Amino acid sequence: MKPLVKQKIAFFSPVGFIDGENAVDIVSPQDIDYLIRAKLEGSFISLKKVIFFNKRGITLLIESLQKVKDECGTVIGFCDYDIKKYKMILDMFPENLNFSLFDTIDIVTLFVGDDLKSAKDKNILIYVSKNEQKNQLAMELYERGLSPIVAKNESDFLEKRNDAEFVIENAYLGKLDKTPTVYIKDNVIVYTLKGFVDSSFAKKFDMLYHINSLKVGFKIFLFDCDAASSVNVHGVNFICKLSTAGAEYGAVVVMTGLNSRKVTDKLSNDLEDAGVLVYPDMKALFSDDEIMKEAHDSSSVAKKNKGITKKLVSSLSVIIESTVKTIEVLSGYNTNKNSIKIQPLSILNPEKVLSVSLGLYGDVEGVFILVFEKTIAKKACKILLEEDSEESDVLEALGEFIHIIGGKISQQLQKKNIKIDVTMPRTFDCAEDLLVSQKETKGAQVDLSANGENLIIFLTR
Amino acid sequence: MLSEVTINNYIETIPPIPKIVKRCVKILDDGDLVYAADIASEDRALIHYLQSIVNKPIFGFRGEIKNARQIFGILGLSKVKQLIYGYYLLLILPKKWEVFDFNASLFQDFQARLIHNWEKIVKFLDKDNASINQAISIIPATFIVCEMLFRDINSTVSILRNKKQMSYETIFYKMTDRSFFEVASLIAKKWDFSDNILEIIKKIGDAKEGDFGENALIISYFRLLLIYEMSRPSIVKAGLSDLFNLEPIFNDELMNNFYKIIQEEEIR
Repeated sequence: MKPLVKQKIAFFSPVGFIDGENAVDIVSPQDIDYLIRAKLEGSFISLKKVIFFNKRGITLLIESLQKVKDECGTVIGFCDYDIKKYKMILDMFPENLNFSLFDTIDIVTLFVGDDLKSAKDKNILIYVSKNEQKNQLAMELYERGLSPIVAKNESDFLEKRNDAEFVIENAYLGKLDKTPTVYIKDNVIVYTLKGFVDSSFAKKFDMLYHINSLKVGFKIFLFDCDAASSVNVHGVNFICKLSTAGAEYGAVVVMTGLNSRKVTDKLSNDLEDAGVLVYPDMKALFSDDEIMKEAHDSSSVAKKNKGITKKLVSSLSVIIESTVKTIEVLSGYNTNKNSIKIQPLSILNPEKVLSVSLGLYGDVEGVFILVFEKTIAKKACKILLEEDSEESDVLEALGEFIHIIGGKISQQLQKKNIKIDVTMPRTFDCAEDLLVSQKETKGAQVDLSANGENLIIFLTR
Repeated sequence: MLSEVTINNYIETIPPIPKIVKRCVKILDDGDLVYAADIASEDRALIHYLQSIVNKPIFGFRGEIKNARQIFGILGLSKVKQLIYGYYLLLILPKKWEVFDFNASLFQDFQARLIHNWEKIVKFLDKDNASINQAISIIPATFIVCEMLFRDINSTVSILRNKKQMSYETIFYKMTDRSFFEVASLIAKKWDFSDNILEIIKKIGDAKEGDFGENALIISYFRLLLIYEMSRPSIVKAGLSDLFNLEPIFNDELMNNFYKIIQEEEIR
């Protein structure tokens, strides 16, 4: 069963019954291989649509996921259940669990995965019956830069419950021994290192994710060693290599939480020689206005004098065709091509549009931008939207929409032996920001009309 | 994008029921099993289908059952009728499946399991309902509907499903405002099933639909059976387990009884 991958977490959503007969097909050997290759932060089974499970089924699922955990430290467990299913699992495994249980998919993303945007400044309430678990859950969230409220007792919990946006009630934190784990805080990519940082760290490190983040435009990469026991020469060498490689993108590697017990003076000097900035702790880094300004400015830096390349032009027809086809399939509208020109990005009514961009990298590198008039944007994304959706929902759906188009482009180019991958999408509710980011940039602009309204495809380097 | 036009075009391609088969059903309605068997044996494809289904391990017959009279005699009126309605679906079965990793043999296994397990439930409840039995035989048409309608846009839909957790049913509904069960009922209409049966087919797939009156319990069991069969290994492997939006049934008594019936069956 193919999992849905969201924020570096794979979610399997089996339907109906889980037993010894079908469990091996829910997480199949091919899925295990994929999860090991993908080096994700977490792999979870959603029990939302499951109406019955037995111990044999649950055990087989966990055994499959355990292989992934053993290979790359992925956090594994179950989510999306009610109290009855939660208690059933705890009863099935009365000894300590070696996997985690989280009430919902959203709560999984508080503990695992790289995107904490949705949790930022949100009211998180924890109340689980076992004190030890309650504290561990809270500590883990503190470590990820969140500020949960821990209910003292049941009445305190009931009182605070209504104001809470995330309620962690039926959860169990299995051992989270993955290192490094990653999340994004204030435009800084934070890798949390635990235990010994040695050659195995380089082996488990998700280099593709790191390179992708560099290409998207992140400029500060923090390796927090607060929970690490020590960093040896292999660990230091690897971080130095990352620092040197990141310099090409103007990125800086920062380390925090180091002290003389964790790293020798010589290795510390090696880090500094490689351009790694060392701060005593995370607080010191996030209080440094200068470096934080760097982190925030970076993502909107205009690229200068970059234009479309021959390689991009040769892929243009596939890109346009894939885009148009996807728009037509998902929106139901026929589209007409009005013009194709090599020019700077030109938007007739910037105040009336929503736009989104996506980076392409691999055999062909470029930036792919879609500009929709607001009315057509909502119609085009209707398949991804709930009925009562606001402009922010449409913008988010546009991000998913361009990601689907990116997938289609990648699929079609693959047929021509051109391998590409895509970055995460970036959405713009204000066209001015987009125009600034593409200032002095020429590209191929395709003006289309769908159902009488305008949309633009812009492809540049 | 799928639309009403796509659905109508598809329905137009549905072939009519062969005359011999229609005649056979009519005779079965009159209750004459032997004569019906003789009529059925004039359609070699029908007999071949009945043989292949009835000799599947799930039916548990020791020796091979070959001729029409044997088949009709062993199965009895109700089951024979269900199997013949199941045969209707062969008329629209794709030769090659593209959206799902499925084939005719696996499809027939699914039909056989559904019909066989349904009989156990009917016995347990002691409540046989001819209309519901007919509707159930047509339900697997939903697999074929999804396969045929999504075929041309499969590459885009599979990317969409990779990025967003959506069942085929949700995507289909967002595109056409219809459910697979509604399209299956249009197929049944083309095959001259009664309005009552068309309604049952439509309603079985409607998560919000609960008004089955005195048949509410039996329909709940059927939904449970459908969810159960949709989570079997061959269906999961084929990618079909995420076809519907059938609402899970969280009812302990129902669940325990259901699992007891199925487990007894599996153990035997």
